[in-house]
Amino acid sequence: MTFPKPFIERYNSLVDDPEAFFRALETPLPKSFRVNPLKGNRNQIRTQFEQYGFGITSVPWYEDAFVSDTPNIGATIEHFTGQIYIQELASMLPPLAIRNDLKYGKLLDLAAAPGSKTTQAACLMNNRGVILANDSDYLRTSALRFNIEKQGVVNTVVTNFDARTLRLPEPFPVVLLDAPCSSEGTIRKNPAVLRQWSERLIQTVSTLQKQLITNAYNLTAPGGVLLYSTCTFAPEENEGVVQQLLDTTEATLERVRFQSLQTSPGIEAWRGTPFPGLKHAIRVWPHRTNTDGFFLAKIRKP
Amino acid sequence: MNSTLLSKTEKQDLLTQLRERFGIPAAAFHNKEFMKASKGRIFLVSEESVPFIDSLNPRAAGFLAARMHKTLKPSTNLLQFVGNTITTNKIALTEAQFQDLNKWAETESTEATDGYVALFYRDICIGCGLKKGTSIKTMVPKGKRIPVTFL
Repeated sequence: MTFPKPFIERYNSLVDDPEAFFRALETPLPKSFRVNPLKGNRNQIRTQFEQYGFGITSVPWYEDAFVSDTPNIGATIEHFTGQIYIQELASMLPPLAIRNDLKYGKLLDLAAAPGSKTTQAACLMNNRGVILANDSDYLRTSALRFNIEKQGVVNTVVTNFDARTLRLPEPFPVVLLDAPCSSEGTIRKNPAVLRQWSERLIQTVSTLQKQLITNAYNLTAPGGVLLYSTCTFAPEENEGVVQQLLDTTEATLERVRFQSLQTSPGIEAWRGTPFPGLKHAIRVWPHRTNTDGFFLAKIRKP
Repeated sequence: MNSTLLSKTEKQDLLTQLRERFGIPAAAFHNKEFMKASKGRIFLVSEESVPFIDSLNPRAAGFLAARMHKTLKPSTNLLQFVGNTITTNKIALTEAQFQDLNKWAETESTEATDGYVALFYRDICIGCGLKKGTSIKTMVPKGKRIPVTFL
């Protein structure tokens, strides 16, 4: 894998162990999945997979998540019938970060397609309440609908609005913004990300993300929670976006912890810009967790 | 998606058909509602979703549960969803029968009566089939039929 020179320079100065970081990016991702409890039984599926001859390992921070030693889990009848969902481990974190808040029974998922986090949230809500699953890309809502149907999710309403300008009759107690990003954290499964990577792309996406988080906050009810996440490392798309919201509103950041998952706090500054409020954000690094890279910030609206 | 709630009578009729054909009890749909849309489509949604469907004109809601024309055609999604409550007109497939159907071939069975049937492999409901005589055709949508080598 050939990394662009600016990419190497940027992360040599940001990552605690650059050598391990770049080595991890060149290592294939483990195959992971989660059981869909709306259709399948965790113990039965685990037993069945072991009978297929698959090596299955539990994930300590999520009871429905597993890692498989074989890539063939997509060719099982359990996948055929939607009893499992093939999903990268780090991408399972955002719904877990708002797990306790989902008890309110209403979730707005602003950039929902293709639906991995939407359907996971539906599982955590036991198919009750309502999820407003929006995506501004009409074609991607087809994939979202397909996955919702396959997983047997009934509590989701799919819309196709521009999330920057979306207005709703009432705000939501829980809002998830898994923002479109430069996807640096997914390089392990999709090296093509590097071919499109540039500092300019990061700036362009960052501008969009700031517009999205501003409206996401507007759509959050007082006392409610906004979970902002990306699958990228760039501080301009992560701490920089959240810091702007903290600077311009009364929002506060809440600490998120995942037991047995080695995360890092948000960084304090980048290229001369301080991020004084971001220590409660979470960074997930591939060389620490053997997953994709991820960023999460749990924002409370007073 | 222009849709409206099934009327009480329509809902009762739907539940009766599902019970008589497949033995599915009404309790399987506790806290859920059926919405009817164009072309006889019926969607299964959570009851809390209904006000949002009415006010937002969404692209979709819940999942397609059935189509109602002269007869009720249950979707594969619906039969998978309530698979563990199905007691009648279920056909247990062998591995060879499953693979035949998955490749869009017909297979044969003497189980069940003519009409729509629930197809099972082991205790897993794989979806809807149509039985005529001893012939069974899969109604599982093509997009959902992926190669399966572990079953």
